[in-house]
Amino acid sequence: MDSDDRLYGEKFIRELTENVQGVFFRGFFDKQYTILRIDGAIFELTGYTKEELISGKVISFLDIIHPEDRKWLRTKRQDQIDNRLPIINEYRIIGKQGRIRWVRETVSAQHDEIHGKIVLEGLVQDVTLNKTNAFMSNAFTSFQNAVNNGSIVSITDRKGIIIFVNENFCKVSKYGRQELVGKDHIIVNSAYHTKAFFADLWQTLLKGDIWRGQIRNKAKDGSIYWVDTVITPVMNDSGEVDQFLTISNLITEQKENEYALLESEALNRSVLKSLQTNIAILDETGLIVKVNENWTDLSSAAQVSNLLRTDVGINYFDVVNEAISKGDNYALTMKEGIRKVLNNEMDFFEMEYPCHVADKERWFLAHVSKFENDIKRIIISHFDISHRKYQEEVLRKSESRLMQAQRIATLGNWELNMQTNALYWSDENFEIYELDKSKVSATYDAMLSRIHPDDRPDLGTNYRAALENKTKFEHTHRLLFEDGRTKYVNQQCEFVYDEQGKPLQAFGTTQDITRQKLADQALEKQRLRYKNVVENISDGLIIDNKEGKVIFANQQFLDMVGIEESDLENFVFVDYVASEFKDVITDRHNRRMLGEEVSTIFQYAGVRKDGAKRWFEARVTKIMENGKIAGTQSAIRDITEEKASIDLLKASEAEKTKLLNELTKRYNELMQFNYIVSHNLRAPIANLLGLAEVFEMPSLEEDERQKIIGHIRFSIEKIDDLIQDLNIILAARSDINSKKELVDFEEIVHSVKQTLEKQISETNTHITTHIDFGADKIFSIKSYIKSSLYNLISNAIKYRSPDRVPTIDISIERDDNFYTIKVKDNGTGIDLQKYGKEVFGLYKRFHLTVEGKGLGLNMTKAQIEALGGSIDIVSAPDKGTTFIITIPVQQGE
Amino acid sequence: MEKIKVDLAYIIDDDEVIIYLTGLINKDVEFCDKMLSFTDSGEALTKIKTALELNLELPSLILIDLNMPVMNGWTFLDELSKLKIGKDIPVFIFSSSINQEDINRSKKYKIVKDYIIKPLTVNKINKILRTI
Repeated sequence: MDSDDRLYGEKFIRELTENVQGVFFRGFFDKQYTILRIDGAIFELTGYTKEELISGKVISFLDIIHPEDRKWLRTKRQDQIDNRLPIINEYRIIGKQGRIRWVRETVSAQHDEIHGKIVLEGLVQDVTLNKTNAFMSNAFTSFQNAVNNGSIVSITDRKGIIIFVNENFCKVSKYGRQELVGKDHIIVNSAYHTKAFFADLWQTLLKGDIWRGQIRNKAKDGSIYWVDTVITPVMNDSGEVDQFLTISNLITEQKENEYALLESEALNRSVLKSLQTNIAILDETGLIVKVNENWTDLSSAAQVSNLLRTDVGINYFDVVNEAISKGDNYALTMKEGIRKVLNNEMDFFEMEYPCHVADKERWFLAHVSKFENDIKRIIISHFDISHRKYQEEVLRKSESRLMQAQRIATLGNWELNMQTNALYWSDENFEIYELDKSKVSATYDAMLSRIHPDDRPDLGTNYRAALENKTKFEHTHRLLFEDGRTKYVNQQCEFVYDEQGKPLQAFGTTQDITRQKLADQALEKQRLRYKNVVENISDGLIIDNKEGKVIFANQQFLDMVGIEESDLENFVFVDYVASEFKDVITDRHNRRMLGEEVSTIFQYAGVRKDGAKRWFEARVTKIMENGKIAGTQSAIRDITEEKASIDLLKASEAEKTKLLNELTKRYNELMQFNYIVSHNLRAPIANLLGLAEVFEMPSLEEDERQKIIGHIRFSIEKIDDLIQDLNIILAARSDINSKKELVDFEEIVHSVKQTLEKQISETNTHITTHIDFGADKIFSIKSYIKSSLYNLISNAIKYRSPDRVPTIDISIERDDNFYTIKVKDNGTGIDLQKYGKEVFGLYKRFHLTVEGKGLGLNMTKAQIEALGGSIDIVSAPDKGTTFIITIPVQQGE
Repeated sequence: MEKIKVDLAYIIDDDEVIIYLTGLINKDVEFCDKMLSFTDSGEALTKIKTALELNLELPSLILIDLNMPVMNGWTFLDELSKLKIGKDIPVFIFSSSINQEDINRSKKYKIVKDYIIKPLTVNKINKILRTI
């Protein structure tokens, strides 16, 4: 068809339908009924402009067709096109405001070769009014029927004011007719429905549509009645809604039932919701018909494809089968379980399965059961058992650790119920008895079969004795195996008794001590081998096992620590070690047993049983058995006396050192004396010699001779002075070992003053003495104090200032630790900056004007230091000098 | 025997007796033209320094005691050794000490010609003069 033809065809239809009210359109018979052309009059019909509709710009033609009419309309049109039938259909279209209009289409179909589509062309006419009229005629028939067959009928005006009610209305509402007519229909409102409910009702009605619904009304006496209601708008001649016809049927009973059902369902729903369980209900085909909220939450949270990724409408078996195809064995088990429950082979089925998510291990328990009363429904629930699983895992791990510990310690445990004789053995117990857990059950006979026949009587006797005496049972015996091997086991058990003293239960352990036993035997073998040697050497010998228990000690050792052989049973080595050595010894033993190299020789203080402390030297070596450390062998020697003599030796060495020091000191003193003789004593003698020589010179005149004699006398006096000094020095030196005594300080000062009486009086020196309280007597060496004071006082006089009357202040003070003696003068003083270091040096003199030997201060320093004290000087030129002697106060003084 | 004589001799000794005795001996044997005596060696050192500065007469012989207060003989020798003196001044230790240590120590000084044990006698003076 070319465009001319098309134009012609359109024109033809237009002309043909010139007087027909309607909207011409042209469009494709495609999915959206795409409009190619349409009259502007479509606006009146739909509220959409032609521009909005053409090409589906804003809305497609399909969209304005009432949803209920879309499906049948398409089918019908297709059928009409296919069969070349006239395309005439009546359907509803929905306008812009939601207004529904009935339209009739009269359309022809052409094939558009250009687009390869079918083109529809024709008219759409508004037939709403016709439809309503037709409806009305139907309604009238309904009305008549309703009135006749007991329905509740009312007619209201468009505002809801009642115009007419039938007999049934009055009967049900319990109002009289005159009470109703002229009133608002609201009179029977039960205030039950929401505003939205009525808004919807009115909107529908005012649009001209029929409303149908269930309304809860209230009768005059307040009783409630439910009606199933159809309200039909009645239009006047001009097509406006004028009145409403309401036809209702009473449904109270039905509604009540429904409510009861709803309530119970709500209850069930909330119960199901509150459960932490995820529940799904399946029909017999496996279709999920209902799930609770938890299930929904869980299945949406599940990230992997698994049994939980399910929702209503999904067939559970599909999910399960999918999982099976992926090799999920849990799914297979689940499927089988559900099938069995469905076929009444099982009442219920349970399965635990993992459903781990990224950060968490999750476990679920799936429970499958049937509805009661033969209803073909399956309930599947999933409980989150992750926590329980975790606990189980912890328990399992701790059990496995226990098992491992038992294996390491070759320690099995067993329990015997003494009422039922039921015996439980741990896995390790089976191991020890070398019985196969899967073949042999733990029985008394099984155990007995393994016990060495020779050991059975003793074991039985001991066991019964322990049971009777209500004591702990402990017994070591052998096991004998088919191949002739034996094992040593240590059995221990405790019994639980009831109030009557009847034994209820025994809890026991079995420990394989073969290795230990063999090791002990090896040690014992060693002992026997060397028995003779062992008992005849002077050292103590002990052998201890790996655990540090002494399993052998010779008589010498017993004597050393003062115990009897019978004490050896309960002997703990460290109990006989001084506390400061206990840890060291334990540590040494443990390290040695671990294979560490530990020094062989070790001295320690031991404590005998009688409490006496002795010194011991132990030489320890490892005992090896089959390449393994089995224990130690120690030779122990009492070194108390030896140590004492070493101490003595050390003490005598100290004495020697002291002596040597003394000798050195003496030597130094001798050198000092030598120095004095060679320098000081030699000087005046040399002068005498020289003077003697010149005295004989013939040229010498008489007055010169007199002078020489004067010099000779002076030199002789000098020699005398020196000899006196030396006497003092030697006297002091000889006193070096004198005993200290209580020295009266005042008496000493007095004596020194007497010695120096001549000098004091000649120089008119004033001497004051101050003795502090408690310092009048010093515990010291008298000659030292005296010579020191002599030197200091004579020095002070010697170095007096020519400008002042010489004064000397002598004082002594005492505090807790020291005596302080001060000798202060107002003499010439010494420039300490210049000579400080040399003040106490031997034969140092600092003055040209004064006779001096430089001996006194050096000697004083030596003596004060010999007393453990020190001497110090404070002085400045022309400012006098103060000597300060500090001597420590003797302990207990 | 030809008579030997020096121009200027320093006698350093804190002992006045020695100074006196040396004077007496010089009167007798006249071993020097002029004799300056010091009881303080520091004073003697200052004198030498002054002489060096002012180009005055330096001693041709120094007799010095060891054991003196303030500045002893050793210190004097140390100080004198440090001075830059154009001519060689012979120094003789002149001590009452018969201590071998002192004698050994004196030999370490280049300027010390000999160690003379007191008393000073005419013979010993002659020996000194011969050494010079």
